[in-house]
Amino acid sequence: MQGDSEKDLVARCRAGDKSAYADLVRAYSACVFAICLGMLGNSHDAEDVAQQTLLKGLMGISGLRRDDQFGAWISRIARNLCIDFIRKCRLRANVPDRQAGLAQPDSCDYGELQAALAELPEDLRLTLMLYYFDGRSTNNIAETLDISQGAVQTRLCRARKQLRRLLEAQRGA
Amino acid sequence: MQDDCKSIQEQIAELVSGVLSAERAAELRAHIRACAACRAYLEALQADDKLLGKFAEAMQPTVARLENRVIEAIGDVRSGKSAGRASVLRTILRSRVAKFAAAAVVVVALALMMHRGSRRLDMAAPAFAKMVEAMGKVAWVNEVETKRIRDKGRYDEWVFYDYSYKAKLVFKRSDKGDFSCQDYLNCTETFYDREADTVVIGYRPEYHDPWWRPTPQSLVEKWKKDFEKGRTVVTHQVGPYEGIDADIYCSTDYGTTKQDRRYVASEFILIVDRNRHLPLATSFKFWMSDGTLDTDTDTKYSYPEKGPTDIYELGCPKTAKVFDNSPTPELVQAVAGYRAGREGSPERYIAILVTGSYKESPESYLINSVEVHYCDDYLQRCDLCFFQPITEQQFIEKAGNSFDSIMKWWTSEAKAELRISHEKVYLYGQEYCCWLHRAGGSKDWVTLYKGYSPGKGRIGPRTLGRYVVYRNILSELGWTDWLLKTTGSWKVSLAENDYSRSNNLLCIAVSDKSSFTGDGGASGGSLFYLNPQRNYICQKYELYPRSNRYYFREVLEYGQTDVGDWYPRKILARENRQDVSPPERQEMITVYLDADPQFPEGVFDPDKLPKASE
Repeated sequence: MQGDSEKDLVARCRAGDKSAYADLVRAYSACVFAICLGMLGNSHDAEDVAQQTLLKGLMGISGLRRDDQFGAWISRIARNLCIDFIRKCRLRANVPDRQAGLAQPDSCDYGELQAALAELPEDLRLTLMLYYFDGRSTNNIAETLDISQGAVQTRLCRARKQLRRLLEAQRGA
Repeated sequence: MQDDCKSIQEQIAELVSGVLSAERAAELRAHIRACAACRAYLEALQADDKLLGKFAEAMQPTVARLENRVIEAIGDVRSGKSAGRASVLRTILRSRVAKFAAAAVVVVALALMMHRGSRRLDMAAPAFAKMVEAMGKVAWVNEVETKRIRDKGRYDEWVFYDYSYKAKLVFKRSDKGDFSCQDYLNCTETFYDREADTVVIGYRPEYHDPWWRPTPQSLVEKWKKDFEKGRTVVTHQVGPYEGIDADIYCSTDYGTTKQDRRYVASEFILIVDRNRHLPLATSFKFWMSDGTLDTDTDTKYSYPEKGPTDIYELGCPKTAKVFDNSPTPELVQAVAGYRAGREGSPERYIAILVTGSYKESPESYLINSVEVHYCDDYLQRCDLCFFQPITEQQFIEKAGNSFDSIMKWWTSEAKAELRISHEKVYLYGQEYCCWLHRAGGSKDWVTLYKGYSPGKGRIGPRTLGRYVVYRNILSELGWTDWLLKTTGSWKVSLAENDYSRSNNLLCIAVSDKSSFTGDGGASGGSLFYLNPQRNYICQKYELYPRSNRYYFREVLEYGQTDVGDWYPRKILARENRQDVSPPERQEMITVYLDADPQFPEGVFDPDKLPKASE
């Protein structure tokens, strides 16, 4: 969702229109979920943190300075909440940094893929998740992550290569 | 597979991503048509693409559920349905203190109006020194923290702490049923895992560092910062608090930023016993721009004569299963030696790391990268260059086999003689870091990351892919920090096996809970072999993750600086699956060191880095 419609929805939210925020939730839930999944590597935790993000967005929308920046703003909230979540996990679990926050992948048909994704560096996993969950637009990812489109493409290439190596290693094992 | 195919496969991901020029894409496609291996690689990447697409589709019901949950909750959040528990300070502040605090805010507002700006009253500062002194004398401090967060529907979180600064003990319990005890003297942590109903006594070697331990200073420093903020206005009142004659300091800050959020105002109240100089209570509040209170944290302090002796007194069930991983005195001594060796590693040097790999035998060893690390305490720079592999003999013919000859070649002919695939530069200073990248053959550098943090201290080491620029590469190569991070529920113990016996090494085994068998046949975890004759350098390090892949690193040769410090000179690293022989990848790093360096002019100057496109 871009431009006027998003701006309009944010303005209506400020005026107390709950249905407008519901529309924003529909537009951004996949993106927020992708960020959380990319950072946390586990869909259960990602769902919880994504829900927290979207509710936090509702509470804080009056503080949003530019109405057309809802996407970037909610993405930042999601990333901060994920960082908080990882820190809490780290404190609770007392595990070395590299493993902290990466929960066990879900047991389902995509267990092997998720295990490989969990091994990817966070920046690559995040980019990959945004690409596949949020409309495969490098332009949108660049805006969300506040990096150049070229950097998004580089990360995607590196992510694909590393993912391939990890999947091969797993299948070999 | 031929070398050409390797380099082509590196580019196939770019082809799949559609970022190659039409000309290059056509060349690649022509190769792929004729090469079965590259075709298979392309097909595998395309299959991954489909798999990821399907995975995203499979997650759609989760996203839909998330949407529904949030939309249902919207009404509840707006109307603030969930009510919190009664606040500790809400009751307290109903007393005269509240009036004082309210009066203080009015004073501040008036001061702001009169002075058309903020005014700092530094009257709180003298109280801190007395407070630190007084808190250092008490036997126990009991702290009860209550937090109410508006975002979360105004629920309360209660956390209880008992500190003994003298006994270096901290007990913690929360209303969620978790209990823990940190023993900073014996470097152990006892933790009750409510879900698993287990008590784990773990070794925390990092507690040796004094900065980990809570002290009266660390607590007071936090408050001091709030009083010292640029826009903060501090007022001071005197009045009774629960019948005690108290100093009430109120700090009000306008336009506060906390994490990603701006608040219109924040207020911090500190109440101190006037006679004993001990803090009695604090209150933190943050207001949002619409005037609503967002976060509200109250803390109350008391000073009992006695504190808890174990976590069972806090309410931990005695029936919980106990995993006792307390360290033996021998283990404590070994880790202390290791830590001292790590801290004593050279901090000012130039190190050249020549890295290559071989698959089956050392005869097939090929060198493919050179890293030059400049390290002057916190100032660090790494120039990293990857090139088409050459044999060790070819490398020595070009560059020689000493620090001086390699450095001379590196700064003159090297770039012209090698087929460079890519280069990187990492630069770290106290308040900045910068990474640059340049592809082989390209004139243009690209900024991968640039961070500045003025006034906030040094930006820590960060990873980029598998390459990490460490604060001290020699320290990392010689004394991996894994041992110092393996803490808590992991079991750390001294072990012995053929390798440790024949090399006269101390072997430390780390495993999760009780999976380690104790004889070197680890089923999961790590083995660290420390060499007490060489400043406790970790001569060999084996990591067994949960799957059957494992990693090991071994120092094959040591070097010694003019002042007698040992450092790892030749290191072999292997990554493998246990059922594959010979190993899949063996990497050899040779370190050439100048421990009394003259750093090139401007080497740590960010303004003198290659100019890069942003």
